[in-house]
Amino acid sequence: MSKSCDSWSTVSLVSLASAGLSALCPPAAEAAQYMSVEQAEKAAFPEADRFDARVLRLTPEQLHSLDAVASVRQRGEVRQIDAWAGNKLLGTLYVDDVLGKVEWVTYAVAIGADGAVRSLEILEYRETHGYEVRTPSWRKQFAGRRLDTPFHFGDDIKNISGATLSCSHLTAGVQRLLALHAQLAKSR
Amino acid sequence: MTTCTLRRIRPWLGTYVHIDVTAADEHVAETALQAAFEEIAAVHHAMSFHSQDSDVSRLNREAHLHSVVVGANTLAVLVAARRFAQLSGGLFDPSIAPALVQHGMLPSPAASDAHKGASWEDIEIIDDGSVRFQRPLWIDLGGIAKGYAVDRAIDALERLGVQDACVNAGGDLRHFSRLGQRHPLAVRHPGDASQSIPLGHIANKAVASSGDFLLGRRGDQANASPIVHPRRGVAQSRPRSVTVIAGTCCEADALAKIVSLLGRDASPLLVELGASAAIIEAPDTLQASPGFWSALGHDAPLGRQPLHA
Repeated sequence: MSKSCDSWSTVSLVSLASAGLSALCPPAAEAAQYMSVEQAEKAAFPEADRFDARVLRLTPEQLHSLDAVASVRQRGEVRQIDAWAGNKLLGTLYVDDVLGKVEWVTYAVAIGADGAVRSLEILEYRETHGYEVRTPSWRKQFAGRRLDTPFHFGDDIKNISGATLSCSHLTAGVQRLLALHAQLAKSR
Repeated sequence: MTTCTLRRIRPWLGTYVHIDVTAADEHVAETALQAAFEEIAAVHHAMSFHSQDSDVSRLNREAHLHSVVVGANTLAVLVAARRFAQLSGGLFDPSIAPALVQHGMLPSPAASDAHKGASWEDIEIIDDGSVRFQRPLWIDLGGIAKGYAVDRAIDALERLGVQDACVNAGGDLRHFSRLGQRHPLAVRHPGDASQSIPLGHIANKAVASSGDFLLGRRGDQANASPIVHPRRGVAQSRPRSVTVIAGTCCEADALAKIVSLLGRDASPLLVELGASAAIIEAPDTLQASPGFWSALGHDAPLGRQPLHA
């Protein structure tokens, strides 16, 4: 191919940072909403007239047995929400957290009465960076921000090209919840 | 005028897909979001290298034995892949999967071994919409399927009447605005992924980036670059990234790989496709092709022009 590179321009990243471009690039002005648990309930089971919620605290033995299904760090506290239409159980929504690369990802899996996954939604996503930046100095800047002031992924991620993060841990989380659902169904 | 802005993330295409939508009301926004995710899910299921029953896996198992009927999406991506292979003189090649498998970046498919000398030219698209390989091949459409999925999602959102939308599949993103709203764009610093570099604004354009960073790979092969030269094979990764701005995300996605391999020599191809690119090299340099800064809403190129042609 010809060497027609005559009008490429070069700029230093430092000078870009000082060129005031960050002022041109403010975080999204509109406050977009995250999905709430209630929204996830309605989205997964629109025909339900009642939701029954409880919190499951998984024992170390339970967590260990789920490791055999798929290994990923799970917070161990799972919200289990049964969806009812009259006296008919439509299915169950599980709200759980798995560890992404750095931060917890909160997600909701709806499992129908037939045992099949109806939907998967991410409710809170705080992941901003990849594995390589999991350094003490990098982590320090976020200390204390995890729960009370969660990151807004939109501000951090939505505008950014080149932020590929694997979602394999989430897939593992779903597999674990399916296994847990089967275990619990036996004892109901 | 009141509007409704919704934002959803779901895991598809091996990454997190973010969709932001602004529409006249919640019903329109919600319906459009569902349709957009359905488009992405369809592309994921058809083109997954990992799933045994995807079109891609069926092709890799059977297309060298007999012609295989594939879905419209797979056919469209194969046609696009072949076009980019032709335009780049074979640098963009959807049949490099064996090198990625060998370096642990893709799982080994349960298929007969790929033929050593086989390339994209062995992919034959028959008039009836089926596909045949002249020699055993392992194809992987990961190089453009994500961009294509983003385009399908944007098409669905536009068709269903949303005002503004942005779809971002792990860095392959496309923006749509009926009223010409602009969308801020930043890229990762290739040497320090915790920094993002604001570049300007795009409007109704697509962006894709290729880099060796942020993949989170570990072990022996962690230093291997996922961008493979069809003749030179897998190279060491280095702190460099390429960002391409184009009309469609499929084009941006393919061009990001081609510019990664060709550097500034990709200029004629960028011009031909009305696209522009930047090469960012750690520690501190961004080289922009003609049109890159104007695509980001700047009147003149930032920085200095080179002294020599």
